[in-house]
Amino acid sequence: MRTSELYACAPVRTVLGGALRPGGDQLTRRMLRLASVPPGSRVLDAGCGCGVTLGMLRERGAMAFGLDLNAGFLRDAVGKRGAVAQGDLAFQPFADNSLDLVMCECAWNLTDKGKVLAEFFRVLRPGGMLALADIYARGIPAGQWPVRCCFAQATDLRTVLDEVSTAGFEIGVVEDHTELLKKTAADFVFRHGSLHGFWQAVTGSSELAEMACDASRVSKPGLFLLTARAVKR
Amino acid sequence: MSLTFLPEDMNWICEPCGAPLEQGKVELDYLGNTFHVELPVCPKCGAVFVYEELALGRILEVEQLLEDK
Repeated sequence: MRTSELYACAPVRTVLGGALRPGGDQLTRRMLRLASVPPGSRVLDAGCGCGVTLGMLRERGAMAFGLDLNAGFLRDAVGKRGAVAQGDLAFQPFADNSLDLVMCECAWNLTDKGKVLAEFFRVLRPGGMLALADIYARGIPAGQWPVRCCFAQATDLRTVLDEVSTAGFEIGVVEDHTELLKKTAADFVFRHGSLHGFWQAVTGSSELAEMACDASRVSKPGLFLLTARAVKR
Repeated sequence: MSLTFLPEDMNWICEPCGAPLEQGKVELDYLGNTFHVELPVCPKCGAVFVYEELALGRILEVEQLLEDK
């Protein structure tokens, strides 16, 4: 697995700031309301980026750990936000049943999704919670994207729920937050003149920008948030 | 984050007030979303001038996007 270029590129970071996901920290705050995070909870932020969520977890007294592939982002997160490590989410450096909560915001689609869900299940204690947010396809989950990004591996929501359940989780809350994604896309349009202009700034090519716009029209990306409990006997 | 959108020609006068328009901060609200931009504004009555290129370009695409069209 290699890290995506889209979330790290300048046109995206300029709009999203440190949170690196649609809606900034709004979705994170919603996750934290849904998940119980008493002081001392052991929490992994899977794909922690610059550590914005780690900071919010530490404010709540959680023992927060961050894992991300991008060394540049981890340099921002290290020290001030909690314990972080560079690594693949498919090989998590935690003991079995060792965590109370795993949060994964717009990182799962960039990974080997089945393996990563299995790792989430392995490291969570029985009854531990997974809080997962990512892109899903409201249209046809296909289309060619010119860069590796969270849109490329997005499936329909039914498939997401099946994958999470098959990994051993009991689904709790499922919410649609597509409005946050639309707002972010609208911010891109204001800044770059159009979505085509945004993708051209990302890819440097009008043809690749058109490819991305076509893929978006077909797949109609949406944004979901779900919580699920690890069912272990 | 505030983006500035001004027409090439800023020699516009607010007809009711007779005041020349000036660059001003504006909040655009649409379908529950707020966008902070800078546009030509009348310093007296606060009327905002959304010029045609902006209305039929970025703003139209944003509307279509938020309306899922």
